[in-house]
Amino acid sequence: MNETRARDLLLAAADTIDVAPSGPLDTTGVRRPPRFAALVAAAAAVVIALGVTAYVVRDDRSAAPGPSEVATDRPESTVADQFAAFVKGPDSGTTSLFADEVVVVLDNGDRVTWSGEYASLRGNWISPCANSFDCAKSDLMDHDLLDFIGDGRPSPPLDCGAPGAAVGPGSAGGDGRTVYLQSTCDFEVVLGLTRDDRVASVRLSDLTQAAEVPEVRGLYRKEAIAAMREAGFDTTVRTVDTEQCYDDGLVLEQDPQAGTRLAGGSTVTIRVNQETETPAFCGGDPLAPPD
Amino acid sequence: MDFDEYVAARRVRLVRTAVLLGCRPGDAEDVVQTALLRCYRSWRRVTKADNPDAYVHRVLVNTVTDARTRRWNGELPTAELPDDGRELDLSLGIAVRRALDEMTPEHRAVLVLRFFADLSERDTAEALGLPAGTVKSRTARALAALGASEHLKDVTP
Repeated sequence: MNETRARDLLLAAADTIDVAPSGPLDTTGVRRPPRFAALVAAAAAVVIALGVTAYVVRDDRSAAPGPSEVATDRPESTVADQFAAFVKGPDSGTTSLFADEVVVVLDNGDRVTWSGEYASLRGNWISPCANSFDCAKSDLMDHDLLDFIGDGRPSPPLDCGAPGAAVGPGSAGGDGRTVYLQSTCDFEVVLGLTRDDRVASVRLSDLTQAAEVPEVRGLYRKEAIAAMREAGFDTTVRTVDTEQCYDDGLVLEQDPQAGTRLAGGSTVTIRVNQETETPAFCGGDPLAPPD
Repeated sequence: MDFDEYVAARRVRLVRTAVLLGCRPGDAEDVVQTALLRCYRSWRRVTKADNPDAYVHRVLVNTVTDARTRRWNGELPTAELPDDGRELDLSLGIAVRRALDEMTPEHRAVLVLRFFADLSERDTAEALGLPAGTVKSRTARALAALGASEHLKDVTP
């Protein structure tokens, strides 16, 4: 048999095959998802679950007490004790906590609020430090405390010094049970204590435990941002176009890496894929064995 | 080359190729759909190939093979195809399909790719993952086998 005859025969055979007309091929959802996405999502969920957002106040002093309450309703424990009560983690007091806002109610009823900076608290130690790394270097005993703001307002501007350094002590004043607080420096400092180690009330709101940065590579942009928010971090998104085939919006890189411990509210940068070439047909090797 | 255009131009032919390769007609459209989706996911890679058509056929052959090994394939040829009302004489085509059914899958594949899909020897070799020389010799034997088929003895061109 020659080739021409074979062609004719095959065409005749093909004529016996009816093929229904087809609508547009449904290609939605067929782009190959990254295989590690599911694993990463599971890991992120665990991290999110571990992300602690604590709202700290001891017992009935959660409401900011008015001046009249303050005088009579003073906690017996010291600030350091109060802090220690909730700071203590599994490894017994070595966990760092960071607060977005710190409110200290003074003996005279004045309230002092700091926000946008972190109070950094470790066990019985209250440290003027920007992060847990600095804290490790610069623990200060609570009685080393610093500036005097007996009238409830930061008085005179503080000498910030270097991060981690003691901020020069203010003068004693008021009724002798004064709260010392400071937060005007670039680095996070919040300290509070009375002269006799008592304080009317201490409130740390939106207290966030130093959290691990979750793994978001392999998630998509919105999922990654949500995961970061759950873990207490802000997210900066940058786009990147690689030679490889990835879905648009897929997170390819993150900085810092997953597992890094950061204070809540820190910003993590992610890089998401953004194909500039269109149409962006992407996927795996079609000759590879099916999943 | 746009994927949609390719599908519009080639789908019917691919379905027929699948049937001639041994797919049951009812399965052929699914198989082609699967093969095309595999290609869609890698369309850049397909279009960058020397001969995109050969690439697609290779995917098709693999998909047909997958389908054959995965499912029960108790193909039951019938003497009569469902009547679709056409007056066309289909006896030759049906005889050819029966002849193909009795051939080895290897012979069948080279015949269909070379003479129905119109792939060159080189592209057929690429589609089947074989050396070109093998395709050449296999084609010769397949043609001989087709010519010797009992089914084609009584039919006229």
